[in-house]
Amino acid sequence: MFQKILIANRGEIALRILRACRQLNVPAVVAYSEADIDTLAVREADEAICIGPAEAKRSYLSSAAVISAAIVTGCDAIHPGYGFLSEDDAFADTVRAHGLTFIGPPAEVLERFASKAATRRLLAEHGLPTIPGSGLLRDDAHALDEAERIGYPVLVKPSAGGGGKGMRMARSPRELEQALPICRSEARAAFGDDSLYLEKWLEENRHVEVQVVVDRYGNGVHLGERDCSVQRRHQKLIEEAPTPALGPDSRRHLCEEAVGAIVAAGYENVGTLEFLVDNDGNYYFIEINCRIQVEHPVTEMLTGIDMVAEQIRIAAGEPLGYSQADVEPRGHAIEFRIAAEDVAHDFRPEAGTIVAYLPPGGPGVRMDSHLYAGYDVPPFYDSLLGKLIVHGPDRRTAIARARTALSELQVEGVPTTTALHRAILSHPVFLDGNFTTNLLDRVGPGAFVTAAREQVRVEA
Amino acid sequence: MTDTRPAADARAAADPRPAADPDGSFPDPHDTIQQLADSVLPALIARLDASGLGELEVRADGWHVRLRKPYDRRRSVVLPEGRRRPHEHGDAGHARRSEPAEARRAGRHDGPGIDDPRAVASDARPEPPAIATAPAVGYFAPRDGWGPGRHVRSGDVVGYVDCLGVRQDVVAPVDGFLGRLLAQPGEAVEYGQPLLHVDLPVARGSGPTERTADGGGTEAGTSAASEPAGPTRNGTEAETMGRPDAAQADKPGPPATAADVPERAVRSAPGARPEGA
Repeated sequence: MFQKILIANRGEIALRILRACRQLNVPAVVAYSEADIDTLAVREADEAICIGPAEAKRSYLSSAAVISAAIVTGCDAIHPGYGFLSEDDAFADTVRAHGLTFIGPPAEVLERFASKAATRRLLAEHGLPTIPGSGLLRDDAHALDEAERIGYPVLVKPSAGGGGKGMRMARSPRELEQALPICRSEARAAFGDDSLYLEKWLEENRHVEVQVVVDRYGNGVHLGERDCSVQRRHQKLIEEAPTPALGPDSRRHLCEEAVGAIVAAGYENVGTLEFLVDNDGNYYFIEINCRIQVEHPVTEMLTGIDMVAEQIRIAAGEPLGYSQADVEPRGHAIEFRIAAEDVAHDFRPEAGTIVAYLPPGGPGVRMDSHLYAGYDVPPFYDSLLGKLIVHGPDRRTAIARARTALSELQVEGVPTTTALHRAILSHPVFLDGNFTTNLLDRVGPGAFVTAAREQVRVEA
Repeated sequence: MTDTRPAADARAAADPRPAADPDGSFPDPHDTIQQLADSVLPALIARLDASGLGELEVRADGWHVRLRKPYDRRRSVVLPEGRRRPHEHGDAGHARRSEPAEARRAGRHDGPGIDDPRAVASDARPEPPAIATAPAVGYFAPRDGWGPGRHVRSGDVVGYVDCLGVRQDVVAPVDGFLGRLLAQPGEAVEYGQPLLHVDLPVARGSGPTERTADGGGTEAGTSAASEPAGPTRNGTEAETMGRPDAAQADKPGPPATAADVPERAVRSAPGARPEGA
């Protein structure tokens, strides 16, 4: 096991990693930017080190600052969390070159899966059904040809990164021509890489992902799937497991196929394979996330496995120590992302001081958040304030617990998405589980926003 | 005020729409803005800075203003024993002490006083030294051969931080004289950590001046003034701050050893600063 771990992230995930380190009895150092000195992980940490100014490029995204911080504080491993440097193979390589361990897949594994187009090809060779798509687009003419071959509508996607940035749907050559320059500039701004590819757009689909854990010795298990279909403009709002879209047999089949392919492709550490599921229950692999994900607690609630601890153990070279038969997902879990966003104003991210914070409690309720009363939410980073996760023996109980928990949750000082979640929870389409990624767009976020506003008014 | 979005720095937002006076007339917005910019805002900023508060909102006839200090490092974390202290260079010197701003601040008398603990209510107020901070996380090395007492100009490289083999410059935030080292050579430092003092040149006004012109008698840490030898000038403080007498460096008087360098210089011009007045 490691001597000391540098946590190179912020917000709720920095706190989450700190907790895992403590439980593993490994000292940890929290690396933070100037804007984050008051964040809970920094307060809680035995040791913290300022690595740069608020600007992420010069702090959390600065490979030199992060590695230098690890060296001067005597760490022998770096946990990158999610986002920032978490899937950067060049960073992982530099970390190793300095004699440190990157907690995540090794550099060559990250490199192998860095290109989404190449990953789809690779996993298709290992038997995963993939969605029809293009290779990397050379230019607009190439894009138009490929779109014609795949058939409209198509989704333009950046090859680097994820999180829905730089993605646009196009229903016609005209729309595609308009979308390409926008996607290119968004991708360049977000990931420093403007290469794009196309994917067939399924009008009605669900977003289902499979969680896998693979050790260095080729032992791999899946920890079940998660349904992340409640999205707004490709940003996940609610994740749950098991997916209401597939029956037990289809779910098992999907998960087994996913873990089989990824182990065969030489993956290591925790990872997530994302699939689109159409109305007939067909699934298509779309991409892989080589890191811990925001929604990992859903799986933790179901399996009882601490996935951050697993990441650390595997990076330290420990064998998995259990087999698929030992993994027994129980019940139903739902996660709600609580973000500092003004739902009524196009989900505008907000910053400000948290005046009051009261997390919910009770059986099957978990709140992963870095909030406290008096905390200043800085404007420089992601708007995620925390995650409310509920667990129950079945979906109905989980939803009932979620209702109670969402009404208990109190965050004052910045607008949050809490009321929107309450509105979604009372929508019949969500309740019967028969929704697709269009839920918000089709029913109209307007409807939810209105409902959310009503709720706010009632509470006020 | 409905805007809840903070800016990256302390900011002031004045509502451009004047409220009606009780008699129904409106104050001249230009006057209001003038007054805000010239006296009210600097005073409020100083007060906010000294208070430890994060936000200040003031309403008066025809305007209201909110100042917000988003991520002040001085509201530092309560640290467990043995934990490294995050830097606390929020108020002293630092790169934010721009010379023109300092000169403006020093030349203004019209603001209300503040409870700045640094300000001593007497004729002889110590001016805290400016602080050169770490530009990166890494190992610190002072600049070879640049010892305490050396005259430096704002922007001079006074040391380095080795960040993964890349040498990053530590620069003097103001014109002045190199003072005490705040980190040891070879020490691991974090971004923004105070590394060395840059003592400010002493300003002269009309009041009496304490000096240690012999260059040998002042212990570091005393409050006695040390003015490098040179003709007494009656230049304004702004001039002194902005353009220290270049001739000073050539005179035989400047202190040359650590013991000779005063920890703090004394400002001898009575009433030169609004704070504490």
